[in-house]
Amino acid sequence: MIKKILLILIIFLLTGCYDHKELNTIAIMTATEINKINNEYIINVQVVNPQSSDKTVNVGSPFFVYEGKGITLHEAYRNIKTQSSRFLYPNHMQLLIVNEKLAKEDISEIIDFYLRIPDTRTEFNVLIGKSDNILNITTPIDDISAISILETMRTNNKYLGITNLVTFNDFANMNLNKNLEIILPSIETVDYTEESTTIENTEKTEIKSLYKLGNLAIFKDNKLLDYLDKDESITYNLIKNKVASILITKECEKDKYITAEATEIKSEISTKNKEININVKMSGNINENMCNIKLNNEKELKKLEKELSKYIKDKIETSINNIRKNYNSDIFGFLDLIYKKDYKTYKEIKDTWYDGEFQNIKINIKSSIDIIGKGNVQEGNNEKN
Amino acid sequence: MKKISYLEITSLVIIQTVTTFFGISVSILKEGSGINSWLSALLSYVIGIIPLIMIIYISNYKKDLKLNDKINNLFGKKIGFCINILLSLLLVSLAITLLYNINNFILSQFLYRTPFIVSCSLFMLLIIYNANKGINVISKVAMLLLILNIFLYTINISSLVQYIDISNFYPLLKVNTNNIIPTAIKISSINYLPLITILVIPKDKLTTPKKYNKSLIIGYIIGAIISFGLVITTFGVLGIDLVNTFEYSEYIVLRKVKLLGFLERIENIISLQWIIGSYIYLTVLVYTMTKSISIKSKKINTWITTIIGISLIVITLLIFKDNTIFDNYIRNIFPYIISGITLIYILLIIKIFISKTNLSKT
Amino acid sequence: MNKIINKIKNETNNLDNVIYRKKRILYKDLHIIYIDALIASDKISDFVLRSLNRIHIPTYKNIINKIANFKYKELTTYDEIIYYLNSGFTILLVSKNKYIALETRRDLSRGVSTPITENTSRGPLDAFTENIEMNIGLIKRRIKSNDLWIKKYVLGKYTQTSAGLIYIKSIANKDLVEKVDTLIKNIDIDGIIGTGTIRNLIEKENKNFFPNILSAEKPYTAIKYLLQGNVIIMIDNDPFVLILPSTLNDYFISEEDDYNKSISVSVTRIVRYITFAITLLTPGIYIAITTYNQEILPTQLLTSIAAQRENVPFSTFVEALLMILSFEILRESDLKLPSFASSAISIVGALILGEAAVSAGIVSPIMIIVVAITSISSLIFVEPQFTNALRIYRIGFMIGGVIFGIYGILLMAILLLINLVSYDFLGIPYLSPFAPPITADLKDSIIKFPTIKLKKRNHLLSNNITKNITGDEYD
Repeated sequence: MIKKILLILIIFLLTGCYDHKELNTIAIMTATEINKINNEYIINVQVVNPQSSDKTVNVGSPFFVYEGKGITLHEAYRNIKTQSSRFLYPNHMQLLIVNEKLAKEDISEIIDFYLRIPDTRTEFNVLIGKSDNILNITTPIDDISAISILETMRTNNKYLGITNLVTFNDFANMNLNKNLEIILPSIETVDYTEESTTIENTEKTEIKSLYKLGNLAIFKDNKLLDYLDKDESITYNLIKNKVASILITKECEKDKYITAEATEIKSEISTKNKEININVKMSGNINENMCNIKLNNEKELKKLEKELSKYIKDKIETSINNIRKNYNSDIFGFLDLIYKKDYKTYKEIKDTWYDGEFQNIKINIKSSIDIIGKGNVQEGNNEKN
Repeated sequence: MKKISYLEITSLVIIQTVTTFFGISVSILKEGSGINSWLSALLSYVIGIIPLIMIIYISNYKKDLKLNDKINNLFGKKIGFCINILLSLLLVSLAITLLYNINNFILSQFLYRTPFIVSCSLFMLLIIYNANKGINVISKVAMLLLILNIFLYTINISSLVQYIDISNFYPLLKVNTNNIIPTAIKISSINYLPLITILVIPKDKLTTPKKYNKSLIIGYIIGAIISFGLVITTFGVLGIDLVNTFEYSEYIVLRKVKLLGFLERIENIISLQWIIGSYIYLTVLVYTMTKSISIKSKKINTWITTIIGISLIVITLLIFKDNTIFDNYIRNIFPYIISGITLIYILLIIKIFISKTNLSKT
Repeated sequence: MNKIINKIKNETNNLDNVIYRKKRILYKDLHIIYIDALIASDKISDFVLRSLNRIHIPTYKNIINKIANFKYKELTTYDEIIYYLNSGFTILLVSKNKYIALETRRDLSRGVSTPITENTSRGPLDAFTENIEMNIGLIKRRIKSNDLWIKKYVLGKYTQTSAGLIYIKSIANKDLVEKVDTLIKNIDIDGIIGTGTIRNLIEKENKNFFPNILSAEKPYTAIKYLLQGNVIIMIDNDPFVLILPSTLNDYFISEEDDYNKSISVSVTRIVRYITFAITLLTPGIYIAITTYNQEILPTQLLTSIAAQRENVPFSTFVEALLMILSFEILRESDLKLPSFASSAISIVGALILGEAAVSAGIVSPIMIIVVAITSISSLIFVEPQFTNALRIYRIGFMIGGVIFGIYGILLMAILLLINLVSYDFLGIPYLSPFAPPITADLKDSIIKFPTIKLKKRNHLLSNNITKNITGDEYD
């Protein structure tokens, strides 16, 4: 018996509950914004105000933003503790926004910190911030802006296909893989004033200031080059199978348009004999038809499908060629593809890849679209014309 | 004497063959054969059949004796004692590896600020407690915990399969091809040579001794399937670059698990499978070591178990002062030490063979 | 004979209740002794006196032959006389060393009534009473076989309680019966007041918190276990019988299961096992998650829990302990209060206490939910010892959670598992149908197979394995 009591005592003495942290001693961090000025990291950390979820009493804004400075990221995070009354709990971080000034210098230096520390999940999303203080803006509906941004990104990716979600692991992978280049989504603020950080910003029906998702940011050698335009962004997502649906708007007559919503998009990319083959297949619905195209006519439908397919193909082709010409950055991972599928060719061309091989490699694009639905209307309704 | 059901043997085999993959075998795989790890893993299952056959062969000699009694019976008391001690020492190398590996994992992912000795000694306390209760309790606890473990394995593998990117396994057999077979041998010796501990349960102790071989083989096959699933998901989901980056890539990949669309962030629960596995494995090892220093009195046995447990912690603390030493140890030293068990296998088989031929002559 | 009478008078300190009568038949004085408080007076006058009147030649054999009482006993020693006298018998002192005890007991027990502790919606409604003979009768009524064997004991130095060990000879394992027999025979105690005493003497109390002996109030339950090969201990003056040995799974089986279809029973059983896990783990896991592994919760849920805990001054562990303690107090007071007051007071107490504690900021609302679900879940187990064991391990899990978080919960679970696995009572492992796996009983554990498929008994409990061959001829 004495032995047992001793044992239990030892257990209790041994364990000082080292990692014990009560919920009201931690500050739940949801997002970080990193900037670098004069060789010093400046981070903005968004922390949830837990009392705000109690809607009955007015307890201030739903979140707070702390600023920390330091030569390294860890130091910057630590310096926040001089302002915050609570221990920063990073496990619920959802967003990492890297300012474009830092991205233009070298983005790879922030990777190591987040990979190394165990208490951030590496599944958070990474964005490029085109302007400062994005996290400060209060948002309506989803009142924690990090979650609001994340949901916006998801919806955008699902229905527009301009942006995409890059988790930190993907980002690290793009950096670590020597054959890949980094590409990240971007975000900016609109009409940022002092007032946008107050809770009044969300209390009007007309929201003055908000964030806005931008196009994809293209990198080469870990340095931000520029932002793609809308078509190029969609093309990238299309080829990489990272989009659920897109809108295809084509001019059918002068100033008249037809819009198809493509769903079930599937693209395949393969290589053979130093050529890249891209095959994009999609099926879709016609949701808007200003011209008088009779959609229940088999022939007209086939013709339309053909036209749309060619239209898509042209768009993809011009986009890829533009990217090749303007940035010379292999964001599509063609070299990685050659490395994986055609090791022999890879050995030949890897040294001269950016000295002309990437520019000159032949890319065959095939695209096809099946129009399945045409909405509630039977045929073209502009009969008068 | 209480009997052991064949399901319990199967679960011990499964746990022993799967657990070593975490942190130890995967680490050797990614360092040795990199992108061809899946092939090395597959080969190691083929090579692993050899120790399995040897175990089945040895188990048929004097079916009512434990491993250590078999050794004593074959070699006589003095030499037998030496061989038993040698086996224990070899198993110590595995035990400290497992102990450090799992505690290092717990401390690096769950309890950042807890000292090593605290988590380690509580873990060891439970091991000693269980080992003292005898193989009957160990095997039954193993069987019941395996039900939980199989549930976790299933979540783990089935929810990660959808994220597997086949291109992560390319280029096929172009890079690093020289190391495939040596790595396979290394892994199979780590995973399958220590299965000799299963011989602590004499064949006659089973409720149905006929099913002994069958249960070993089934355990081996299920273990191989599970561990192959783990290797495939780890390498296929993360890609070779990330796998090489992380210390516990098998754990990092669990962060991708999303169950039923809303249960995410459950990597810490799923990774309990490794703790359970290591726990059972260590208990079996401590029990085997205790039996090797065979003393009939129960009270002294309890003390021996306790001393072994404490000395394991001490050795671990003395040898593995930091991660780097441990990494170097498991990659460069441990596989060679553990392959020393082959010697014991060979000695046993030769001696059994000789004694059998002698018997048939007379 | 006067010596005996004097001795009794001496020992009882001339108690008024002991009545001595003399009856002269022919040449011989017959002494009649009985205790007023224990006998039925009509029995004395109807049977004893009247039959004695008909006796003309007062020999011992003749008296035995002519006596009208339905039950008598021939006695030889003084000790026997005292025992039967105190049991309500009338003693006839015929001659030296030739005494007769005649049954004239007054019926001091109540009649067969409905069970109080076991609620049933279907099935027989009779319950055991305080009278052992009646209880044996209730069992005998249901098992009309010579194989129902009963071993009788008299236990307790002063109480001299009669006890019975009941089993079906051809079903129950011989070793088991012998083991229980020696356990009972080894009992040497001043008094056996109820089944509780005997239970604690037989059971190795401190080794296992969970009970190994099932107590039953209904003959139905007793019969069910007798037919499985268990044995039953019955004690005079206690309406509960002891069924032993029991395994963990037995506490998840209820009488209603026999009246429902196997699929619905299986669903209920699964619910019961989930409830078991809930009542054991919920507070521990809540503590582990909110103080160590906060990453497991979704962000929105975490912030809402954090908001609720914002003003609570205690740590989560202390908060949980406080709430569980106050629940236990409520339960205890509920048991002690008379039934007409208890429900109203406890509901009001619970509601007001809970409501006020939350608004005063002593506990968080989520903790009330946690404790409530834990307590409600624990109530589905009727056996009080089982609930007590759950309470101990629940606190164990809470400690595990507060030391190491989820990892601590796992360590605690392993400890519980080792304890459960390593414990066996009378040769039956406590986790019996699961570890070691016993197919016959596994079919009636978490999942219940159709009754027609339950063909065998547990081979550890019984040597006679086959129990049901219904429908075999159609196969």
